[in-house]
Amino acid sequence: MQDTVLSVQHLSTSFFTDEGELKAVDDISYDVHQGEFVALIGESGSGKSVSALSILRLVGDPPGKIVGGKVLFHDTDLLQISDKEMQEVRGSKISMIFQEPATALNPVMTIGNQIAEPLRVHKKMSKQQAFREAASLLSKMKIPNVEQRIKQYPMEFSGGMQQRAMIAMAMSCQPEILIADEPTTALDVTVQAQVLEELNQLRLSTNTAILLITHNLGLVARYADSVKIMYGGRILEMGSTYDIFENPHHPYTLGLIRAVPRLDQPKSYGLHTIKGEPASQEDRMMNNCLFVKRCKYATDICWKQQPKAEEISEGHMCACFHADFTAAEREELLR
Amino acid sequence: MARYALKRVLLLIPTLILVTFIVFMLMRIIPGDAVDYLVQVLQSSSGGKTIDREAVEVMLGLDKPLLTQYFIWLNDLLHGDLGDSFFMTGTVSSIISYEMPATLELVILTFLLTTVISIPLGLLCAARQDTITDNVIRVISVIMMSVPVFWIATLILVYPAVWWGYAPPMTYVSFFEAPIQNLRMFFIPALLGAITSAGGQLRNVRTLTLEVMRQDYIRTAWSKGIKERMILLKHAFRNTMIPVITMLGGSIGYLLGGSVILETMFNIPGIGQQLTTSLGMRDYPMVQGCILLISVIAMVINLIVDLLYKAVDPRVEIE
Repeated sequence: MQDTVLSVQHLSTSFFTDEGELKAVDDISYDVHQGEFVALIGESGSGKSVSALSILRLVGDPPGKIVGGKVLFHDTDLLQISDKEMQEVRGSKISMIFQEPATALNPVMTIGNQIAEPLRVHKKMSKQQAFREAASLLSKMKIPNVEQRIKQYPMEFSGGMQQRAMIAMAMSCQPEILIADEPTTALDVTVQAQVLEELNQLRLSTNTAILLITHNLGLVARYADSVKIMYGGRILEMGSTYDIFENPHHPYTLGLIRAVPRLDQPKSYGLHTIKGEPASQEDRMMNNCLFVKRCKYATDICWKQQPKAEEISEGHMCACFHADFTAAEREELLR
Repeated sequence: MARYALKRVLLLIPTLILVTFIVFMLMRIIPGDAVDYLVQVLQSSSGGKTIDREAVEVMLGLDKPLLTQYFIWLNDLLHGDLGDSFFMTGTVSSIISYEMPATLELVILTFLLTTVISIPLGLLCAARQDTITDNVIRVISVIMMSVPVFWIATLILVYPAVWWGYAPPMTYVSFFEAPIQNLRMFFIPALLGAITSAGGQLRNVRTLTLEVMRQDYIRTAWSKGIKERMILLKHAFRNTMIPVITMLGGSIGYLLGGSVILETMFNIPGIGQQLTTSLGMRDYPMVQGCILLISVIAMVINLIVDLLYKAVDPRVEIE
């Protein structure tokens, strides 16, 4: 493996409300290597967005607060540095794109102005220089008529073009890591594929690591190098894309894969769901397996203890007491 | 843009006609009659001689049917004639044109001071939300909003006079003749007016800014590594200005209406003072003229506010 650029260690983020502490992210650890495409998968409320926002310290405080852990960028703990030092990291070393490009771009600033801004702040470029650079970035993102487009406002762009402008903005300072928080969810299916393909091309040419947050397993299988499965604020299983899709061990991962409809299955196979509800706050506060209520393999021990992540093969971790029990289902699913 | 402006100006005409009708009829509906008042005045001044009521009515042109009176007034209006005051010497237009500059100056000064006080303080509160700075300014703003202007005005007039023998100048001079002397007279009443209106406005600016600061595009700005001050001034401010312009524009109408108290207390010969006196005497042409003018000013300000939207918000499509 190449050099580790980001190492998240035991990161925990909570929200403090009138009802008490809500654990959004609970003790997660993973590494991101140079140029790697990492996917963070989980259902709504599983803490994937909050964990990503925590890396850049963008969780709204109050009510959110990072309560523990380290975020090592090279050897610097991003959670320890000053606000000013953090500003120098954001948009320059680590940048981020968001789910809804329509609301994530400032409606009263021109596209060119918004793309040029990080260049002017971080690279100290002059106005003309930054605009020229912004234009070339936009044309790299396959936006036609750049000279004209750059003077327009976000509302004059289509959704796909807005997201491309966001990507151009985030990539403007050639960051080492790009965090993409469900970047294609708000887009058309055809545009989704294009945007992700362009993002991937950009990664390959700049060697920027991508941390993609999504619940689209298809995208993950196609592009990701490694996958983390999040549930209730914790990582249940993680490994290479091959490990997760061809050798899944956690009952939840199996459930997710089973839930993806496939064209080669007979109609009678139907649509599969994972029964039950996502882990509630009460579930998260108790000392048991988070998935226990929805798991068909659950036994007494699952109700009494939290399973530790155990290594199945190199780099493939699974937090389940009964990872062995799933062998039969795995066989059946992947047949 | 020019076409839109022209369209809006043309649309003012029907509104204006409606306003003339309402203004005219309102004056006739309110109880009390200019004739009664004039008869009384004439009687006492002539030492108790009986005055012919009908003759007075004919003299004032009030003997004709109401609608006829309205159309006569409207016709004169179209010829630029607002009529003659019932009680004062001179035409309504000459009296108003003498008094309007003072009121306008007071309103404009008050408006400028309100803006200068409320926008920076509102932004400061939003940037320092829930800190001591924010809380102190908010408490002061509530005091500013709730203390009646005539009360502070009284204090300002009385105490400096008692303590230091100082009183604000009370003789009106035009700004164009003696600007410094003129400003010395207008500054204190304008500041008082601004204090009362800025309290509410700065709270609005604060709330609106906080609302904007919660938007996704502000989070994007943070993720780009931009400094807080720049986020506030560059990313949030213009978005906040869109509703703030509406608010401040709307406040000018109130300032015009509220100028009467300050005009009276600081002896400013303005239209507010004139309007109250004329209303008391049921001086129909005078009141109609004053209200009409104030309405026109309000309409023009609304138009300016609408046109300003386009300048601030590119999403506003004007055709």
